[in-house]
Amino acid sequence: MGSIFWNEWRGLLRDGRGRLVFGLGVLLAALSAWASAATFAAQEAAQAAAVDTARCAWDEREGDSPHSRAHFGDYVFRPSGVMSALDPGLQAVTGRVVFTEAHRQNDAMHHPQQAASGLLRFDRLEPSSVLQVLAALVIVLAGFGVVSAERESGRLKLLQVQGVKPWQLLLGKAAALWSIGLAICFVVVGANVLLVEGMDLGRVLVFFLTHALLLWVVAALVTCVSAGAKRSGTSAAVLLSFWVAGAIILPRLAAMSASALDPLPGRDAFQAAMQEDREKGLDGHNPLDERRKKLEQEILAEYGVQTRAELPVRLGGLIMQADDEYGAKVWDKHFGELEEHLLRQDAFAGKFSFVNPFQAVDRLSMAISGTGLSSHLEFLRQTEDYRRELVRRLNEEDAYGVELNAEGRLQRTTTQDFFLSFKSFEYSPLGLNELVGRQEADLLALSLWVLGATAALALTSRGMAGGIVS
Amino acid sequence: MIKLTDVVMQFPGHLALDRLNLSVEAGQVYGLLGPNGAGKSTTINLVTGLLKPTSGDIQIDGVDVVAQPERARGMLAYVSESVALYPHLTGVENLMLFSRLAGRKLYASEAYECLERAGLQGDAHARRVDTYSKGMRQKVGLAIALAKDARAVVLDEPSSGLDPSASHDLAVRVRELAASGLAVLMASHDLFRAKETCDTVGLLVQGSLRAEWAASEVKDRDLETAYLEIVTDRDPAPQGAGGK
Repeated sequence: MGSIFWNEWRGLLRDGRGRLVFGLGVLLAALSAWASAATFAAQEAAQAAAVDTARCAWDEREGDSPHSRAHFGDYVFRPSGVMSALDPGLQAVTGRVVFTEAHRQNDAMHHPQQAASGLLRFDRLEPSSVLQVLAALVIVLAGFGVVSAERESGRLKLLQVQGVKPWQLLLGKAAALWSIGLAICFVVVGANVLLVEGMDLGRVLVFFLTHALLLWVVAALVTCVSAGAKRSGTSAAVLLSFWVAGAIILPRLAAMSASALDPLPGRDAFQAAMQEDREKGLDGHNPLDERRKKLEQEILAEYGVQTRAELPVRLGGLIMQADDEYGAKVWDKHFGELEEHLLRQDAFAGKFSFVNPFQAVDRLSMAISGTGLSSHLEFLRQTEDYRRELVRRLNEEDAYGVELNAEGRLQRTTTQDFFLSFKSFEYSPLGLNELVGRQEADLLALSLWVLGATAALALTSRGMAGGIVS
Repeated sequence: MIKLTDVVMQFPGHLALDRLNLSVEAGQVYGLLGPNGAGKSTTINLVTGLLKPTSGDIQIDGVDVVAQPERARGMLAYVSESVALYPHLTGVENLMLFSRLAGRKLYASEAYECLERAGLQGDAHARRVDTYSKGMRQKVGLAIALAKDARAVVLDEPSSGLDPSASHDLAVRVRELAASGLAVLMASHDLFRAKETCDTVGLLVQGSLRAEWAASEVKDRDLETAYLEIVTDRDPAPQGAGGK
């Protein structure tokens, strides 16, 4: 089997087309690693500068009341995470910066696709795409004739008379094709480990193993198809069709089907529904004005006074906090529904993992890299928690950070130290176990694909052993 | 030796071999003649274990090809019509690879010696085989057979497409293989080269061995006449030979 393995490599490196295909694969892998590391470094530097600028703006602003500071707001930056150099995942479309302020929840913004033309679907050469799409294509191109060419040339007979068992032949060929893919994988992952500081080696290993499993599935299936095809041309046509379907068509079909069968509300409709609930009440019978009046009466009663002027606290701060808490309930309701909707769509799209191993690995890759849907939703949750705490502290300071002056009027006691005591947002990424644990269906699908491809290889070799007419 | 006893090969809707009996002793060359579709390739595929017979017994040096295919293949070498080698390898690399696959690790010096014995010129040994002529590839095929230390060799139309000189050269090498004690079964269309090379010539028509002659006892012209008459379903036997 070792002889067959090394002979495939020798054939690849001595053949002009083989060298071209493999060389291009390695070149693109190296380019993608370099480009992603450079992009990552640039984004990190830009984000660090933006974080500093935002922090300086917060710290250096003077003369604000807590309420005006609540409107001044704060920018929340999601660290992309070193693993995003390997797989930026949804970060390319979801954005990593959220402006947090009182009274409203804003969308994430500044995502890389804003800077790209929508027509340029393949404008990015991400390491994960190189592994999932390009490495698979290199295996297909290097391997479509791996057994069929032996049959066409007549070497298959000679090999079998020389005593090569079908399983040795197929396993040797599949292992050689796999190693070609793994070589590209090594270049991509190795270069990123070298070029990007602070890579989490545990995650990198899991990332590598996941892609290695996909490449094994591809190598085994390429070998099976080549063994079953009478001609290399047929094998090439079948395999390229599979590749186009798996790497290009099915992922889009999954996304389109999920959107078409269970469409998300539009952004405007979502915001309008939130606004309506906020103004009219969650059940439609508790309008904003009535809520405010009721709350005012409750506060006056609590302090045993008749008018706002008699209150030892600022009524506005308390009402704003109550309003924000109500807004939080509205957001929880609508965002909860939206999150459920997104997770439902995601689960639907995830079913395609059972018919397409590329999708199983794509989803696992994003999860491992912390750039998938779970991570994005977690970021939005943490951002909202941060916003609420920020606004709560500012509202409470607005309400209670006052004292009666000599004239009997309320006067602010808020100092700059209060504003400086706010800490910037710190995102706590989900752990690897939790992220991967949420992708049970994809793990199961990938496991089934690995077992299925290996079983197909075994069955093909058994078929060849049972009397060969080559 | 190679021995086929009452071998029947039935494909769906087509009887390819009908109770074929054939025996090739060690040191002998047996030429299996016949028109296209006569069953020569099926016979070769059965002897090499690439097909399993519907019934009957096939043995290589007493080893049952069906019951012990791996052991039987270990004793058998095969040279096809157009020896298919790896074009990216040199002659010596091909020989060393195919020998390693057969479980025999050859030293480079042994490989060069085998190629020499097979008649391949020294300056071609280290050249990639995609620069070889068909005759040169046949010689590498013979070298692979020699290196395997086989007890029997099967050749499938080995002289097809060779020029007379290369064909003659091949015949000489085949005779040398037999002289070294191997049983050689050679399927061929080439009556004259078969008569020149073989000890015994058998004529296979529609899956049946219709005639068998000792090559030394039959004249070229008689062989051709008998071949044509049997193939066209007349029924003579060549003068001076034992029709079967």
